[in-house]
Amino acid sequence: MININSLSKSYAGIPILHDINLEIPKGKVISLIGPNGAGKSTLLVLMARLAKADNGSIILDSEELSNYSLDQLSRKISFLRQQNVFDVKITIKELVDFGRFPHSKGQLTIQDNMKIEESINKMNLQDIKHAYIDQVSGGQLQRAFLAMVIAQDTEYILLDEPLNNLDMKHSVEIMNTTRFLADEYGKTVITVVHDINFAANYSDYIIAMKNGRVFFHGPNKSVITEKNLKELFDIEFKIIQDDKVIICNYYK
Amino acid sequence: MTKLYYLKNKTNVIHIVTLYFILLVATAASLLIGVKSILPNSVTLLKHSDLQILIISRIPRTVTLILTGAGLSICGIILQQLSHNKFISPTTSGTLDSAKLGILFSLFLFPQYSVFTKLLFSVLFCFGFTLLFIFSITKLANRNTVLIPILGIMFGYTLNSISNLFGVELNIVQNMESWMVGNFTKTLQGQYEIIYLMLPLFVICYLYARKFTIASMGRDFSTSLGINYQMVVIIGLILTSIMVSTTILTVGSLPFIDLIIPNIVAFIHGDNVRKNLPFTACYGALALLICDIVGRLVIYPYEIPVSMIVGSLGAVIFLIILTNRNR
Repeated sequence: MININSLSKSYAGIPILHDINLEIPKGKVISLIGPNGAGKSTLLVLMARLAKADNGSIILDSEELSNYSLDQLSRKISFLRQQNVFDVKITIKELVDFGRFPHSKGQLTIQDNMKIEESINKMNLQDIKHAYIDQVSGGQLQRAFLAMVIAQDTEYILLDEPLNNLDMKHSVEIMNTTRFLADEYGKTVITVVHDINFAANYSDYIIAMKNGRVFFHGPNKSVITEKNLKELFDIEFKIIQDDKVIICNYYK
Repeated sequence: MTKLYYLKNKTNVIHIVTLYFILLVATAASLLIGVKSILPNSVTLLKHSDLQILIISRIPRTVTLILTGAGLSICGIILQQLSHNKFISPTTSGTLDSAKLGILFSLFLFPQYSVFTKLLFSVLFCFGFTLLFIFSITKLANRNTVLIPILGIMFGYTLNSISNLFGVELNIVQNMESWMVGNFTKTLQGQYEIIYLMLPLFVICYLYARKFTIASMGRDFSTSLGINYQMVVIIGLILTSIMVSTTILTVGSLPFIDLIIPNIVAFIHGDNVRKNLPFTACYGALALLICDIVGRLVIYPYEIPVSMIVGSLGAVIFLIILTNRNR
């Protein structure tokens, strides 16, 4: 469980997050939604401790986040970011190997190798695992990074816009994987999702942010309403629902 | 696919074995070629004088060649990875010139002290100026542009001009130039032993190899994997500073080898340092050995300094890599 208490953060004098208070449940898929610039990514960055908050605290499993050593934290939380992949020529297999670094410190054991194989199979990368990451498609690269995160095998997994630039098939695959991680492995997956319909259908819990504040949050059934979404995104929504899916229509 | 993996693994092994075999041949050639020729068939029955030549001159020279070539190439690969830029190397980030400045300062301040004082000063200067360059320049220019190595060479010249100013004032310009030109004729028994410092450094580099590759993926990526990015960068820079300083103290400056070899190796084997470190070391040693042998043979029985051959060949290859990358 992650408890966030009166968290705030500003960059170069510009406030990004104001007074965030949240209780994030464990073992669920949690979607962070909201318009651009709402502070979703910043919140993830603070949770992954890649930046320091100005005020407030984050409590991870009843322990202050700053009390974890870098080493402990890397076995507790993994974070997959979209941007700045340098053009490094390594193979997919080598990338997934890196996921075991927090556990093995470089010398892969049999267990590490089993975990690596399992992640590669899970993400369906067996055929291309010896391809260089600068040669594969965007969808394959995204799966490779996700495989690395699966190999890292942390209780908490933070994903920043994992569906960015992916087609529908790959988006569905990625979201199914997050479901699998939560349902089968009991992981807590916190992901920034821009497609409201993926968030509504694949996650258990929704945190909506706007202008650096939490706008609403709760189990997705209770918070996905036409009124909430309209106020969040400033566009009209019509919710179409049957017993299987929920479609938030904002076209036309 | 697993079959292909084994095949790939196997070709890698064949590759490295072949390389080390060629290195062995080149080593033998380097030992035997010289003004006083030592014939292979007389190896079994070496005359006393031949043995003396081997011990005093040829073996020190060959060992220095191998360790220098390997060391500089490894320095290049580490700097490349830490700066996320394929064009950064000791040659193109002012490292060679900062070492020169450092040695000059040590000569000026503590003329009576030993080679270790020079080494210490050289390491400090290399570390400081390279750090300054890499981190100021990546803020100013986009990564992987042609601009960065050019600015780096300019930075080097600026440092060099400071050294020259001091050199002129202190009247040691000629002395300075003579020890800066990369040359293996002065590597004799009793003067070259400091180069063995490379061996433990190679081991440390190998142990840190995986961390260097992870660091090359960026700060946030490394931190998420529990790696202290700053620490890795500092360790990498210290290692390169010591290696560059050691080679400059033993043989002088050898431009471009630290830039060309890592680029060739990365092109063939990718950027996983752990995997390609043995290749890098081998290619580097081989390149330098061959250049030195050529230098010894071109105007036989005289010699061309190896830095001249490495420098001119390297500059041409550097240009080719530059134009290819920016196409």
